[in-house]
Amino acid sequence: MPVLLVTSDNEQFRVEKVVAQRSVLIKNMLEDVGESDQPIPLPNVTAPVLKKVLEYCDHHQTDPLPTGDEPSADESRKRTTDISEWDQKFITVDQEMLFEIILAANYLDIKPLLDVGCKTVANMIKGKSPEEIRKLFNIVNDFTPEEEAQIKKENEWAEDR
Amino acid sequence: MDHNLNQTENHVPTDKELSPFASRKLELLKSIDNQILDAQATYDKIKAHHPDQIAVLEGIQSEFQDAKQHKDALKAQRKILCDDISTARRLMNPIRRLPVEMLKQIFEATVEADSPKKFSQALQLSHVCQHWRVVALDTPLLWSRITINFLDPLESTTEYWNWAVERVKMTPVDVFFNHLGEGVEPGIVTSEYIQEQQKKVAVCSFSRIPFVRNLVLHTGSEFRYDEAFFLVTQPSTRELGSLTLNGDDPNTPLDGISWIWDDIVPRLPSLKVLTLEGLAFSFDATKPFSVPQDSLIWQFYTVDPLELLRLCPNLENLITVACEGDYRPLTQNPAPITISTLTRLNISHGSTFPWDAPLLFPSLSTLIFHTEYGEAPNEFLGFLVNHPSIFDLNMFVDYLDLVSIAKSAPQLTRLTLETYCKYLEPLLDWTSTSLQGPAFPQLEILDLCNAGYRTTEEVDRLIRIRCLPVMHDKSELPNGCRPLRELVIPLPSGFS
Repeated sequence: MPVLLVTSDNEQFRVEKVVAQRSVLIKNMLEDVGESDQPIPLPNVTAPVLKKVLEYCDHHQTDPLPTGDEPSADESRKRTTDISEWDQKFITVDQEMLFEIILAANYLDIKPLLDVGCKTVANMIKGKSPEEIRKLFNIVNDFTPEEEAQIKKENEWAEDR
Repeated sequence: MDHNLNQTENHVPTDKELSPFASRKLELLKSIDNQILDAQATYDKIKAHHPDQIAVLEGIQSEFQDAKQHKDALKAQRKILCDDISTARRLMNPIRRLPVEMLKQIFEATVEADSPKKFSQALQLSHVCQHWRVVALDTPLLWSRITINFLDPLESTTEYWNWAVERVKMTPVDVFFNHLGEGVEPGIVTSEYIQEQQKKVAVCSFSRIPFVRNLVLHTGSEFRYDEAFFLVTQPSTRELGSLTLNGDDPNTPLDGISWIWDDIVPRLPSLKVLTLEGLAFSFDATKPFSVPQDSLIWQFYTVDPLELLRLCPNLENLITVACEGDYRPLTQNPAPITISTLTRLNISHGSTFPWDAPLLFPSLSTLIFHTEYGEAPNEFLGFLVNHPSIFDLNMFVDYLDLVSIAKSAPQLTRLTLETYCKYLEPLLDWTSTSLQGPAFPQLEILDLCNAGYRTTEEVDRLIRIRCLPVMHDKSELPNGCRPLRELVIPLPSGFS
């Protein structure tokens, strides 16, 4: 049975229940309302972002859902920065969209997608100096002279660690 | 003479005498008047010729001043606008909109959990901006690897230790003490050096670390026993997951390093994992394991791992890396050591082990033995016979007597072998051996990935003899032989 989702910009998406239920938020909502053709409002997600998220959910619709009973597996999944080939291609978007997907995955409670987003950002950061990271994300160095002095000292500790 | 001079100075000229000067004066005055008249005429002429130029110049100067003021005002306005745009851009940047918990998750994925450079990687994140610094410093997992370098000055060690333990909160921590007892010529240890070492040891107090997951001591030959003792026993009031004792470079192991095990180990809270690296054992029971309190950890003393194991009744995993040793019992029938919790024994990287020592591990299920060179000693077979609980054997040997191993441990369900394929024949053909059937009839998983090159025919035979008929139409799986559930083998070219 299809589910009707309504985005913040009032666009409607009709998707299969099995796809929509990759989102724990939607799954819980559907369980709460029971069998109903009521549209599900998603006030924190815009249409272009939901379109991308549903593309992910559709591709991964047969994956086993994370149970939350295995904290160690959950932790180890988070630690590695390996991303499957399809996911890598899927997440190759501009920065704005990348962070929108992460925020949407968090709101919709789609842990594997949130992981993919966070790992992608982590991979962008890896191996970069603070200055390079600032440039990458348009961040301003707002440290006070006192903080700069502390940072200098910490850098000395980092020499062989 | 003076009188005559005074007379000349006081002389008043007469009108007759002044007459030529008066006429000269009149001439000069007339000339000046004429010159003034000429100049006035010239001025009047110029003035008449350029009547508005001065006014124009003054006007231009005034306009120039106005323009300059306007330019300064625009410049100031531009700066305000640029600052506003920059602030807006920063605020609008999507990464700023991420909740702190997500930023923490990104940070945790950015650092490599087991990298020796984990601290540097985490530090980079905390040096980006104030917001990232606050988040990074409040993410304990980033700081869960504390490395103390004993060659660093005391002041730096103190500052770093205090800074690091403040960050870790309740997260399990790996603590590395590197270069203990190094930085001096062997045998030439001054009292100042010892004092310096002791001060550094005293600085590194574990009281603020709730759970030390792994304590790793990389010791040089001049590290004093009592300092090592102090370090190892410190976490006794809290928790210690795993202890790793590392000698010098594993490629050049010391002849022996002495630890007073019966002092140290009982104070460790239920040690479950013990790793010994590069410590050359001498299983010489003639030497007592206890040495004088003030002795250095020095190569002439020996380790008695039997005593060590006796003191670890709850050990679950024992790992030796590049440790050499043999066993020479002091008494005829030494009391056996039983550790019923030990499930995994890993003797790797060329280590040897006292297989004939009176050790009993009734729950041992996984045995890894990588001699790399040579063959498994005869005592190893005796050990296998005494441990029928082993179901998973992983071996890397030059020479392999698979028939003997199959007789000693027929119960194996998982076998990983790294050796020459010529020794694997008993897996397939038992007719020329003293086995009643193929080796290891209960085998379910066979990993021969590193067992040398195999031909298409050999792989075909393996599948035919050890796998289910459905997988091979000419299956020869003998009666009583369990089919393989998993076969890991590199396929030769041409195999389909």
